[in-house]
Amino acid sequence: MHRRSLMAGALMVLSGALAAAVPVGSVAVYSDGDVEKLIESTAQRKVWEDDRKRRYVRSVNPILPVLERKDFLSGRGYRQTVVKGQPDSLDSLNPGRHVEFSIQRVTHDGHTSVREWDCQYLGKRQESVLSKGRMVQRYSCERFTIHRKLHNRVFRERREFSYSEELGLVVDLNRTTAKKKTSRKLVALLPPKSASYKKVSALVRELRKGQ
Amino acid sequence: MTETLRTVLLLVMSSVLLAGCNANLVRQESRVLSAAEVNRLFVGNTVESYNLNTGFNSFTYYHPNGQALQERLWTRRIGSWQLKPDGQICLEFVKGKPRCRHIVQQGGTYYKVIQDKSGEHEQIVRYRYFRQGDALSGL
Repeated sequence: MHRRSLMAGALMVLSGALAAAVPVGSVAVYSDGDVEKLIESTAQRKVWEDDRKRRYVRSVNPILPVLERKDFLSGRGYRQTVVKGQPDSLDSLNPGRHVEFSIQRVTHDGHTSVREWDCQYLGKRQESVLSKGRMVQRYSCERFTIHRKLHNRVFRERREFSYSEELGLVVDLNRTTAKKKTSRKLVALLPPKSASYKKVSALVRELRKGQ
Repeated sequence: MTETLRTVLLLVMSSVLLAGCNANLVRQESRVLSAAEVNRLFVGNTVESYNLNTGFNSFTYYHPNGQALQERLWTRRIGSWQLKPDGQICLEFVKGKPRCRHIVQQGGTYYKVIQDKSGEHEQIVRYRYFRQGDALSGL
């Protein structure tokens, strides 16, 4: 019992240390030219804001899609909640395991829809992230709909990504839809004091030039 | 018979092409806004704009007292704005360097424009959203 509580304590300290690894105010820069600033960070969720000041609430569970999105001036957006399945049951001890879950999206104007996801944990591996070898968790998630008449799965999108527990960030993402394929990598993570307009804009300009 | 068919086909194709050109002309028609219209759109409002050359977004609040508060990539700067009788809006963030530009409406979208050498309007900023009041100071 004592050992178990010690373990739990150690895990909590560890997750606290991990959560503190990226301080609030840090700016993440991605290879596609996207930038996001960390606005809020708790043990359960992180709030990121992009350069259009759109806020994204993300779970610490990387397989869950954005929990909430809100546009700055219009206030438009949506909330997403798990209505079926146990996405938290996909643990990092069992590579290859699948989990299916349903997400309900409610938009700012009350429109409701349900999205089906099937995610698989692929295992851990070492990847070069921000010029440093880091251990990442690999996942593959597929979004699908069920055909009304035939009841078979209809493919919507696939996301294959690497998640760094240390940074609390998806560091490499490949997204495939029926129409296009996109990919992006984390290329810079600026601490709050370094995230000036001059520095961020120069980085982004350089990335967009290369596209 | 084949000749008649060919003529009819050619006629149909030409009219489709012409209709396409006309639609394109209608779509591309833009109108320079008057000072009163610019005043209504900007003054006392927070405006989200997208710079078509750099790809950067910014938010600017046009205070009725002539002050302009702007945020780009989470960094703020304070400047001033002025409205000319011909409808040009002038923004000055670097002292002594006001930039005056016309605003045009094309379809349902507003753009900031500059005149190129031939006198044509070149769009440099697309306005994404206008919201009443100062949305930046409350943050």
